[in-house]
Amino acid sequence: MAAVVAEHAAIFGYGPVGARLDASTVTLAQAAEAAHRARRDAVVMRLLQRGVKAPVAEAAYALPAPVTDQASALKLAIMIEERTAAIWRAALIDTTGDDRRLAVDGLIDAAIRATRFRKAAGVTPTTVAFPGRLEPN
Amino acid sequence: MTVLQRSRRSVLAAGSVVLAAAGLASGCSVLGPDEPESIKPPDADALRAVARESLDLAARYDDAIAKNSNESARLAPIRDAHREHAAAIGRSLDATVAPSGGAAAASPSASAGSSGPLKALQSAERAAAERATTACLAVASYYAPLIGAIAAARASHAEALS
Repeated sequence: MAAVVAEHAAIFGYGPVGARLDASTVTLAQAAEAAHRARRDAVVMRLLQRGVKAPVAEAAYALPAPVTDQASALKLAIMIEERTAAIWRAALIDTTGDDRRLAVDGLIDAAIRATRFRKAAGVTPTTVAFPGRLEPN
Repeated sequence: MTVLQRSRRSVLAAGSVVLAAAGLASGCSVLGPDEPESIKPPDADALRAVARESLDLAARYDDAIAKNSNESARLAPIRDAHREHAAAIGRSLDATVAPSGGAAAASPSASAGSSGPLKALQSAERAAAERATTACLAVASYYAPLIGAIAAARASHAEALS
């Protein structure tokens, strides 16, 4: 459930992000948004198959900071991926089998995208030791 | 024990931050099972194998940094992450994993030729991420977030080197 909401929020966030990126980085954001849509749809389908109604997307989600330029757009993209990673990491605790597979893939993909956006933003280091752990280690 | 209890609270804290950030107040629990009273032998073996591989990877980065010091800014944080992974697993196992595992015998310097040491590290990271993913799917749920995060870190290292 939390994963669906996180993916809804991520998809929303890539709207303002994409609008502020130049041609070379916007493709990164487009690919990320498509991946979040695919993951969201996969989770929604899985819930539906179990007769569970997935939460629907809100009309809008509060952004943590205004997105005014490429730098703030990349910062938000990094944050979106870090938070999505945290949700998927938490989902590993109470899943098994195929569901855990979905969760670990979600965590891995978010970590890879976070690294891509850190590289694009010139943030170093481009990786964190424990993706999905939000507080300082 | 205190380390494990603290890490369990961290999971809760991390979940809360995200939920709060997403403007949520859902009743979904992010807490899973309690720490198992004793680790099952297959889980202990799986954790030790991941930790050994982390230490092997760290050693490969030491080697690469020694041969190519101008890459040190990029490689040192990744090496340190591998050591942190091994240490975190050691704490989970409530025992230190000996760095002298059998896998360490496979010396990395031979495979990491001067033509593409970073490429060799990158493929090693990808393969190691696959193995950690497999381990993540097999272990008791208590250990899955740690091993999953290690898999994700390894995959992101491969991306960082590309």
